[in-house]
Amino acid sequence: MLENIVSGREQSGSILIKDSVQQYGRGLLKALIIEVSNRVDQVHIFSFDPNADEKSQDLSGHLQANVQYHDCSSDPLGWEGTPECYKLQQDFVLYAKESVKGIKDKKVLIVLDSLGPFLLHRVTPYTCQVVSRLKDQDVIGAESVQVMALLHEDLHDEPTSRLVEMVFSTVVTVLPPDRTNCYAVCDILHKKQSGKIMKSKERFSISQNFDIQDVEAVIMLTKRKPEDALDTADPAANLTFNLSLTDAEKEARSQLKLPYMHDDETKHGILQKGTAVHSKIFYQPDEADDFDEEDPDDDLDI
Amino acid sequence: MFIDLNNILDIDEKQPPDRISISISSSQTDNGFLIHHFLSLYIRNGYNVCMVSFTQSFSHYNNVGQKLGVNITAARDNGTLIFIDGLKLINECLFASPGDSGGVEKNPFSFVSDPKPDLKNLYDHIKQTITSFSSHSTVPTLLLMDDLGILTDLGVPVLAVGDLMMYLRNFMTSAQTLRSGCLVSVVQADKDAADEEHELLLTRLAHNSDMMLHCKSLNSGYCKDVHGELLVTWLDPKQNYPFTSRAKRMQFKIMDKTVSFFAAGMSSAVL
Repeated sequence: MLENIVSGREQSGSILIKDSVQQYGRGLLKALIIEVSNRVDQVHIFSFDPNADEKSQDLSGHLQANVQYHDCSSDPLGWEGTPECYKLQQDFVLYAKESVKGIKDKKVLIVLDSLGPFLLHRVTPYTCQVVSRLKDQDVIGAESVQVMALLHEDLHDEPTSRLVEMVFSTVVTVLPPDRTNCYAVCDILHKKQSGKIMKSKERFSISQNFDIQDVEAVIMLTKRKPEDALDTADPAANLTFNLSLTDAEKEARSQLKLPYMHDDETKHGILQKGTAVHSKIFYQPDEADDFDEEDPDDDLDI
Repeated sequence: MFIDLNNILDIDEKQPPDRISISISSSQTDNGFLIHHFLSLYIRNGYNVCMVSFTQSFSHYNNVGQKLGVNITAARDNGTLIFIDGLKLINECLFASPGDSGGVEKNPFSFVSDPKPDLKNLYDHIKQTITSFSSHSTVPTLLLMDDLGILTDLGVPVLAVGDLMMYLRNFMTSAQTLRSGCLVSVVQADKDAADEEHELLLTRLAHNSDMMLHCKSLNSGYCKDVHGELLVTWLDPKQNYPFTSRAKRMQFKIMDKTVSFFAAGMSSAVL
């Protein structure tokens, strides 16, 4: 799956790479930029992180397309007063449209490295809105636009990360290696244009020239359920007494008339007579009893 | 300055860390010895130090420095050390009498009483302090911040402190006016106290640091001969390769005038 996305066999309008301090993803981002640059006319990299590529020039020499760096990291809050740098309170889409020139009828790749400053300084929906608008070629004015972004997931909480993931068609999460001889493992979630969602987990390594190598799928080994080799023990076996019933005994049991069960006869009798059968009470008073035949409620006048 | 620690951190005394940002964190133990190590390393060699302290007063560092054989008062007197007393300045801001608003405005820490703090004044103040060293373009400079967790405890959002550190790191590691800058920031983040804000601040610093020093107490509890563990991790701020980071783990024992380091389990008391 990773190779398909990298080579373009799987169309993906927007790719998000999630990483953390334990497992960096910028190398993968650079590798993807190099591969995609073979298929587009212009690459515009908006770097918000002062350590990202511009000064180190890692990508120069590898990129085929025309690449432009836009400085968004030297003074995002305006403390230094540098006019050229993007300031976080500006509208980013407007800034992008103004900075990205001469792209009519061209294929463009826009890279946002990283989304952290937006998510920290603005509300999360703003970031989602920015990415959605950038993906739309009519907004930018190009023939086609692909967007790639990097997100440090340990700087943001889970709801924020999930909300941002929704906007991207491919999400690649870089995880620590499961074996020592490969660089990293990545979890890929890819939403195809047909609506089908594909997930896979692969391990890969990145060479010094930012080539993605040695991609192989991680096969999760699950334990097989133990077969029912043991027969469930029959508790009624090997007893000195008999727990089962013969057919005759079962017949007799079904014929048994229980004292409080209404069978047909008693039901019939009740329905005929209208009341329950009166039962007689025989009372034998002792010498100490004060037995009075009169009705004590006779003098009541209700 | 502890020679063992220099060896562990691959620091050459004559060439202190250049354009490097170091984050020190500690959990349930005291990270003071690391701070005093960097302080004495720079002062002993006559380099510039700008120290911003929120936890201790100047006399504390002076006393410890004397034990380590470094004269901090002399450094302050001849201008190679500038001490920004965060404790006193924040105290003045928070407990200023109503008629004293003029003094508060000039105070770089006036943001602590602000509901939406902007740390630009503090950044400008520190930048001005560092460029005021007469030899800042010829001699290495250290900026030491002890301890950033106190700012978040006072109510300053982690975001604001993180932004300040980002700007300071940019300044110390790439400013053309400095000959060689090193930024050391300290955050106390106790795992037990579930200090989410401190942890978040530490993560933010880690994304921008070249080296992380983490000291923690032993999992098995208090020990007379081994006071704790030091974990050193070298990070790549360019973040190019999903990294198998270089890391070292040592245990240490703090004594009166020095700290001895040894590999885990190799304390002389045990062998």
